[in-house]
Amino acid sequence: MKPQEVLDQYHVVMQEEARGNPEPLKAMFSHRDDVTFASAFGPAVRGWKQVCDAVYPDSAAGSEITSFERLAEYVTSDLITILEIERWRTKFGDSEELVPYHMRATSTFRREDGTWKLVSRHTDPIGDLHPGLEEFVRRQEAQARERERIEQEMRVAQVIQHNFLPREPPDVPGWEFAAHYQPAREVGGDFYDFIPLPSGALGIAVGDVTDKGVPAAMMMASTRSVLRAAAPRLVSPGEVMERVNEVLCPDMPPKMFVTCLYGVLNPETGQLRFANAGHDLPYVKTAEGVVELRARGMPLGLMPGMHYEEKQATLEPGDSVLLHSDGIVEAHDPGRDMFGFSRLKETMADAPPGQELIDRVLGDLEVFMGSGAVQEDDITMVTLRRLAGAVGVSASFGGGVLADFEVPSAPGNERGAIERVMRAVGGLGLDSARVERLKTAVGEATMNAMEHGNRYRADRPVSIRVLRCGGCVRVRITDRGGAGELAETEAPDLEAKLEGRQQPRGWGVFLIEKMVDEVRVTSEGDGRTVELVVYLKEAADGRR
Amino acid sequence: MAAGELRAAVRERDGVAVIDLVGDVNASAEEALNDAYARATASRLGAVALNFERADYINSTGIALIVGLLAQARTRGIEVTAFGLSDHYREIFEITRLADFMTITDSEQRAVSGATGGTDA
Repeated sequence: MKPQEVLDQYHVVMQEEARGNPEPLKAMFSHRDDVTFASAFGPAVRGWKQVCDAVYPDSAAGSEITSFERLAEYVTSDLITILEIERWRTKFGDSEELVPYHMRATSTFRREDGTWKLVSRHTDPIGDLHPGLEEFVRRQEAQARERERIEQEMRVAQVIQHNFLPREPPDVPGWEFAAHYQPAREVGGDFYDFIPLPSGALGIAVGDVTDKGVPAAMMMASTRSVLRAAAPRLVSPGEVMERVNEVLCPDMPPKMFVTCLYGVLNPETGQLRFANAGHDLPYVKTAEGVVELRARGMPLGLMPGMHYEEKQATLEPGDSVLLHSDGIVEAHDPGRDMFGFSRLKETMADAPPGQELIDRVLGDLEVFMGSGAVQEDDITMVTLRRLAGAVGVSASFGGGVLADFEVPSAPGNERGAIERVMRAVGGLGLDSARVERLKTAVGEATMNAMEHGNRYRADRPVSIRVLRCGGCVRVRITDRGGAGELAETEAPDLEAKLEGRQQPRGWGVFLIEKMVDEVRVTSEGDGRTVELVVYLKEAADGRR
Repeated sequence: MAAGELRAAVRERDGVAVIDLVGDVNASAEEALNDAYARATASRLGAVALNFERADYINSTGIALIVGLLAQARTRGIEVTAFGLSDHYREIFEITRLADFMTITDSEQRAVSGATGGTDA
């Protein structure tokens, strides 16, 4: 196509835009990242998707362009830049009046793969604006500011949601874990989780909330919390799904539900027990090939009283598992064909396991969807692999047990517990401030266990296990006082205490939570465990 | 007296009652701390300085005892200062907000001069 033909077509496209049909203009824009669009009706934007969002049909619907006056042009074999006066008669807001409105428009086209594409369109109003149009521009600017505010909130929501996901895969001797999470929008409805269980097993979950965006993200957060609460209290994955379903059902919005695959891995034996609430089937790769792990169950939140089939597989050294969300298999190519289960299965068969598998799947998806394709749905993958030659690893995943002892429940015995924990973590390189904080947390948690859990009964000692896990140390303090909340539920308020409105006591749980990086409370049988987690080094985000 | 059990001695310096705490500030410290506070305030001095230089261990019950002592002092208009806290316990005094209600200094000199409105020059 000759340059003049390109410009003639551009003018036709702009007339369509003026009438209220922005699609031809969007189609004329290059899909590359460097495209820009700027007008008086909103902020300048960069990138094809952003440009498409910024080309508002309502800014021009029912308008017309009465003439294009070329002021300058620059034409090469692969670049056209023109400066024109566009004389519009435009409607604004709800007004039916056509108001004269002139713009200086600078447009640039680039030849891409033999086709001329619009890469920038920048316009400025010329002369005095009609008062009504001025008001309309002001409203548009206010809307742009509002959009910016919403986008800022979404960025914050994205950070919050990201914090719901595990900071890093668990470090279990003899096992390798990897995960990938890629929401389609700023926030998504997929989630995954690794949940250390009191027995030394590891809970592994992948879930997908119907819908995308904020509603899905909120339901994702809720589901994750319910799952985290249920998982340590129940041994059976099927019972965990039943419990989560019962809790979610009353509050699930219409037309929403959650699919979830939840498994409990015994790192020592390789046994993986799992239940499936309507989620895409995970794949297991063994020496025999790749097969699905099947278990039946309805999605969560649809109806109460559901039962979930529970199955188990034993992973031998060298075996690996891929858990995934439907954003992979339901991705489309430009011809609207789906990626499908068979492609995913083939990729798993061909690729090495772990992070390399995740990278291969993402690479295959990119090629399949084509350049510039917009991700339609959230994408989540979790892989686990039993390392070859790894048999008989410690059931206490996380790098081994550094100490395992009991303390009789008697006042003052927390000092002995602190000393033994300190001896256990002595060689881990914790800095002195973290050591001091851990001492306080261990002392307080042990005191709580002896006093509130075991009620200082001589026949009920407190059990303490110290575990090393990759980048952290875990101290598990278990009483035998039965399940329940920690002793203090009211947040201490010093002013209230000084004025006699609160008891002077009640600082224990507060101090525990302030002293360590994570606190988890779980119950099993008549034992309640408080797990204190301290990272060996300060986190990059400044957390202690 | 068991090992670590708190001993609390009271002395006067420049019009301030200094309570020297030696040992653990925990549940077993209640009697010693309250006795010391009673002696410190019996002489009608306007300020009390708690010396934590030799207090090895302070737990949540110890914090509660200090809160109780501070509450009593406030009702009588007695200023309470503290000095000699390690970095760790200073952090705990800050996160519990005790540091908002009592002046915490590095040295006895600063604690005493601060309590009496003087300078430590």
